[in-house]
Amino acid sequence: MISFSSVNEPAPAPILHLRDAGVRYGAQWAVRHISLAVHRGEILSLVGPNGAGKSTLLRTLLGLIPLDEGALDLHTSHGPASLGYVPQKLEIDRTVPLTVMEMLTLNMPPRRLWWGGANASQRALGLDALARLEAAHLAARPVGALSGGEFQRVMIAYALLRRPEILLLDEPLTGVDKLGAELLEDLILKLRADHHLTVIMVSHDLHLVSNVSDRVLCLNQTMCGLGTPQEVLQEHLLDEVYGSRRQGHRHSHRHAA
Amino acid sequence: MADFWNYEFLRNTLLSALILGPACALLGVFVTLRGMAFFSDALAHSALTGVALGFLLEEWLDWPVPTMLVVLVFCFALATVMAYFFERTRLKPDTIIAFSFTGSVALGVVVISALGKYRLIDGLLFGSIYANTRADLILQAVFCLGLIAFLLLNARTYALTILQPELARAQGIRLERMNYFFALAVAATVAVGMKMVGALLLSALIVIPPAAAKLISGNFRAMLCLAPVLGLTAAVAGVVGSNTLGSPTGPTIVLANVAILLACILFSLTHRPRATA
Repeated sequence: MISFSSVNEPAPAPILHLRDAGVRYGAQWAVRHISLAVHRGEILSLVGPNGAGKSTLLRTLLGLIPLDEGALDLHTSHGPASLGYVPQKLEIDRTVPLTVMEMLTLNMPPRRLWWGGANASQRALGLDALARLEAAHLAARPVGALSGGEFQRVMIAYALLRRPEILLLDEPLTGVDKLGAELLEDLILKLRADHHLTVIMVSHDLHLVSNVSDRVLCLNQTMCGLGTPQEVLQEHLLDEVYGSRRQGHRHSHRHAA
Repeated sequence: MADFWNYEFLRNTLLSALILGPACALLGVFVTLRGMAFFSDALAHSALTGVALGFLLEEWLDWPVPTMLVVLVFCFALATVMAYFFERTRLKPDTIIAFSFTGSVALGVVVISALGKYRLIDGLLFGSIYANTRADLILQAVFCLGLIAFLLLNARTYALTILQPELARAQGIRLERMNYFFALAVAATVAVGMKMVGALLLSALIVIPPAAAKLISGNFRAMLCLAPVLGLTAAVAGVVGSNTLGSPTGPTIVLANVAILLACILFSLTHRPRATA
């Protein structure tokens, strides 16, 4: 595993610290030997081929999957770090009469009682959250009627309602067009600048990764590379992570030319 | 209508409709949105087998057995078995539900026939709402209050599972436990509501009112409020209608539900529900 981080810079306490972490499904290890420290305000992207363990690692950070070895610390100076999560997609039936505002109220206090609708203070909170993502006009829209980009903005607004310290994004560009991708790039950088938010993102889109990330972790069931996008997103390293099929494809192109 | 207050059995019938109609419909909001309509239908049908097993236990033990309790236990056990098959086999859910409920109904009919209680099947399949006693009404009222409280206290959990189960888990909700409680709520509703319209038609009370409400609701709160109102309306209309027309009460209640659904379909085709935040 190649790491390009400098050993001479003083390191503030990380907000997230994984030490030799591993997760397995039955006898098969999904990810193993993951050691990683993420600092507040950092944007870290996880890249790798399908089945590399990216979503498994993300779900482990969320606490949805327990670690089978190693340790995970999520701490700030004033207590456990809070997490916000934006899943890849909703499983909702598109005909469900749930509006965006009602969906946001699912993540608003009081958490226990919820009967749809929104009172005045909830409406104000929801509109404020949506406005920060230029999505206030979506408040009355049924969730099932949202486009991919609109859905992403609403899900981010949902995740940010509880003012998390770490935002976890799973394939945020799924179903999002080019304009939406550009908006998302700007949004991630703005969230970091305005809220000092730590972002950990799983993505196949190396363009997005390259444009927003401070560091990139290449995974293929174990750590294959960790460093800045310029250091890690190099062809030979990506070939190593994604495997020889990519080399064969490039080889056949040369011969065709 | 004066007859309903002059005769206790008619009064009890109307009260049963007032109690069970809205409660079943409220449960149905979450059943339908979670895609469990066929599942609830299967449990309702299998209640017949629960009754049959209750009769069998009475014969074996030579002791009165609370049939409703046996129905509840059997329905919940069946729900648990179906859930196990969903997770561990390659069969699709609708296949598992289909063989589970047809198999259990067949078993129920065979057991009832073997016990010589075949004449009771009619009431079990189509309901015997006129046979409600005061004790039945008290049980129905207490159960329905508990069911409504359970659903309203956990509406957020079940709404999150409709939206995205992983979001629910990420917010610390123990989904498997809540799913078991939901299956138990459906099984208990079947056990308590069976007398009203019978095993064959009970799922109509659970499924049709929220389906109608969904068509004309612009948001979730509207659907949550409207479904019990439509359920109540259909139940009362069915009871009054069957008394007027001399028709079987259970099927008449279901027909009243269908009429309301058709009206809502017509309305939704000619009007667009207005979504409000």
